[in-house]
Amino acid sequence: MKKSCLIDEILEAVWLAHEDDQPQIEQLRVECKHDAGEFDLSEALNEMADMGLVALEGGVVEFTETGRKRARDVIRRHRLAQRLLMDVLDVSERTSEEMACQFEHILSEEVTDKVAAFLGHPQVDPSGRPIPHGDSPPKPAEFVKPLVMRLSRLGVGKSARVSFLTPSFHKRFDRLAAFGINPGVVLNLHQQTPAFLVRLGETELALDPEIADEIYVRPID
Amino acid sequence: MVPKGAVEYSVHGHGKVKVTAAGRNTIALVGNPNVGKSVVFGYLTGHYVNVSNYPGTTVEVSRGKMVVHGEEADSVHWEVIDTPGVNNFIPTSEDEAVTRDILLESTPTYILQVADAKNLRRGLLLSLQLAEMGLPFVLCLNMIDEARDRGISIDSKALAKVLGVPVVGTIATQKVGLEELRRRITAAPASDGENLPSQVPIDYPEPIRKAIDELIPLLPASNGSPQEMSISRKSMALMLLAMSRGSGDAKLPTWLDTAVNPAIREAIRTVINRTRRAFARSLSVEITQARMRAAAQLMDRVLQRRATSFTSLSQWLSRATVHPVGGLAFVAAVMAGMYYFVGVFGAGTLVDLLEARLFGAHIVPWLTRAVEIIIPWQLLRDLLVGEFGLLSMALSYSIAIVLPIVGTFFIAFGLLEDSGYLPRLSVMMNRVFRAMGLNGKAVLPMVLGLGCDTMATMTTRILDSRKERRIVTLLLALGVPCSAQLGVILAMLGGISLGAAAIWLAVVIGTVFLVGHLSAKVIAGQTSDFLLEMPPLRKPLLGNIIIKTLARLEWYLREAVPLFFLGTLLLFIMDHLAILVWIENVTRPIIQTFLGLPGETTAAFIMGFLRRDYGAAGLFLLAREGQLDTIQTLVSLVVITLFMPCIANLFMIIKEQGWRIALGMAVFILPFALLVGGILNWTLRLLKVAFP
Repeated sequence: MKKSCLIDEILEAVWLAHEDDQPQIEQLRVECKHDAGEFDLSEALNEMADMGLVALEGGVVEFTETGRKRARDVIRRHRLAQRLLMDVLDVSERTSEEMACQFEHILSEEVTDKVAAFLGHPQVDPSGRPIPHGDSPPKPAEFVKPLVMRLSRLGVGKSARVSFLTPSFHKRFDRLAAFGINPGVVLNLHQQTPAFLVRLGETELALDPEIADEIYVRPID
Repeated sequence: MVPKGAVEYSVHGHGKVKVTAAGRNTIALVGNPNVGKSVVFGYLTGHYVNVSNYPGTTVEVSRGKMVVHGEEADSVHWEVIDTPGVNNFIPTSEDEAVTRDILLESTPTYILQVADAKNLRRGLLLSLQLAEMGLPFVLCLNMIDEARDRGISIDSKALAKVLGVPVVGTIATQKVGLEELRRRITAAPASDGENLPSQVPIDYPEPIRKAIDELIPLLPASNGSPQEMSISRKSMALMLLAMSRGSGDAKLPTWLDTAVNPAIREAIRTVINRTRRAFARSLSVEITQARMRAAAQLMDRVLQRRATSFTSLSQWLSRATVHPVGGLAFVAAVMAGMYYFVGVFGAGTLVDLLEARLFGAHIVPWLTRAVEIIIPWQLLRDLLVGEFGLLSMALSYSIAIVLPIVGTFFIAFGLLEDSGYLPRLSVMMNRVFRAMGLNGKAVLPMVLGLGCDTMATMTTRILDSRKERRIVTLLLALGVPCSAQLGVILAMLGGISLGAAAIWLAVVIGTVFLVGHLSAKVIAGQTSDFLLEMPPLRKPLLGNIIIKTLARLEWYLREAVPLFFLGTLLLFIMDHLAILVWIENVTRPIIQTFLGLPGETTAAFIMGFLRRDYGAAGLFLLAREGQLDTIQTLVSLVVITLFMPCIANLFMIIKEQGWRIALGMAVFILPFALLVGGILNWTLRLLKVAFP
């Protein structure tokens, strides 16, 4: 394991400990230890203190300004990756957690910001913990308007452009395509219960919620 | 013209279909569902086929003849074929496969594509494919009035120029433009490669374009003779690409397997497999999306949209009828309306008028006197006007009781169908039907079953999966009383109390739901998606309702009346040979002990084998004579409701599902109906339920 990765993991653990209001060193749990290998936590912490990332006082670990920012970015990448995997790609919670542990080390700042924008700047991760903002906080309007969402999450009366479809089987895809539900098409959602009603052009279609779950759209005003 | 030799040709690979090149002109009508193909068909041929405002009503290919008055010949007949609506020629259901095969196999001279003018893009998806196939066609833009109301105008001249085919705007239900359409079809019959549509370029993804180029030289020249129509090899190549689904090696259709040598076969397969690997999604989707893009571009060139504030009453109603709360109120209102029109007016007022006043007071006594004067033999007299007489029982029953009830039902159903309410009912009922392994689409056959189960069993073809067709067929046979039966049952229940009616309804609906729920678990297969187009609500046209009702009544009477006579004859014979008494004795433990019913009901149940409504009518007479107490009435009604389907329905089940399934259903239904009746009987007696 690379050293920078180990540092990231420990910073993450410190962030989590602070979220739980238990910043004592003995409370630290380095969660993503799948490839952490053997390491001495107190030695690593001392090293990090020397690098100016954390301050150790009386058995409690505190962030320095630099350390907090770096930890924040790790957490942000982890939680955004998890949202992306779970919400959009429908990956199981366990797998997405494992994958997010790897993503947090590799996503560049630019990609992270794009993912955040794509998801509509979600405030919390799938388990409800807050997702910190990056250096430039998003404009308020962007919060409520994720770039792409499932049709089933689109509000009633809203219009949206179809981005992509993830049908569970070919035949469904074929039928949607022949009705004109293809990427790029604008549709309007009329109703959610008892079935989804969408209008595209002059065609009005009723469809099951499960199908609406598989149509991803980009809302338009 | 001498037939050009038989061509053995099959695309989807179950066996070869022998098609002889037609010696006469044929026109195939194709188009999206619910665009009015059947109306146009009716106009061209003078044949009535069921027309309705419900996508996918045409479940059978209809054929008719169109008289063409040529200038030289006196008159020429052209064959016209009506096909089930399709949204794509890449089939995703049996209906779509049927339509595509008509294009491929029966080599029509001409194709008439009917399109909904307000949904041009979806129509153009089909037009582009026809053009790609190189089939000569005429494009009929129907419902231009509805398009105009929505601010849509189409430059049909420009469209005709691009496609290279005649384009005619029509309002088929009002016969506007249809004469022009007929003229265009007959004026320029396709011949010798003239009038062929122009190819509209479709921007397929690069790997597909490459595959087409490689496949074309490998494909056999279709069938050699230039006079015969066959689809272009480019289109054939795309069809092959689109057909390959799922994983594994591409399978070639049987006809192709036999038409080319193994080396070429292998080459074709290699191209398809390689192309398939180039995409994450199935090739059919890639192809359809490319075509859809081309259709959208073409539409932008020829279609003008004026901003209109088109908010009509029909749009408001359209919303209200599927509103989670308001929609339920509509369902209730429609049911109440049906009840008053069919149950109270049809089964009450009209039956009373016909049966009691006309037949009971005049016709039957008059016939009886006439028979007694003319015929000297007692046996023959009994046969005609006795207790189980052909004239006294069968005639008066079928005309005086069944006809008014069925007639009013079909009028009501026709109104529902043409107004476009039924798809909305499907939306409201979708969740309930889900629990029975079905989806909302099953509403159409189930509601039609309240009119005639036989007809409804045939209509199960609109359902997408075999599992759904099987479940609906079973539920229709088991627990959906047809209108004739329902009319009699309601009349009898009305005679007891509202509570009795509620118990009957709860037992029947509960049973249907339970059996549906369980059979969804037992019957293998998949429930299909609920993906249904909502046609606009329209004001039904009186003329159409009348034609439709008459056509259905004719069908019903042809099916039913002979069976009434047959059934009466059978009863008459059994009565005279004392078989009736014998059956009564044999079934005594079941009918009399378990169900607690008098022996006389046995005759009614035997009649129920022929027609359930006939059985119900037998019970009706017994109840009126005071031979059944209230619990007995209720139990016998539940049993006859759940009882065996009538003979006609049974034949239809055999036809649609095969005799094994039909037999299996019969073996299940008969004991099950008796069981439910028995349980109800003992429950009511143990609880000492009394109806005031």
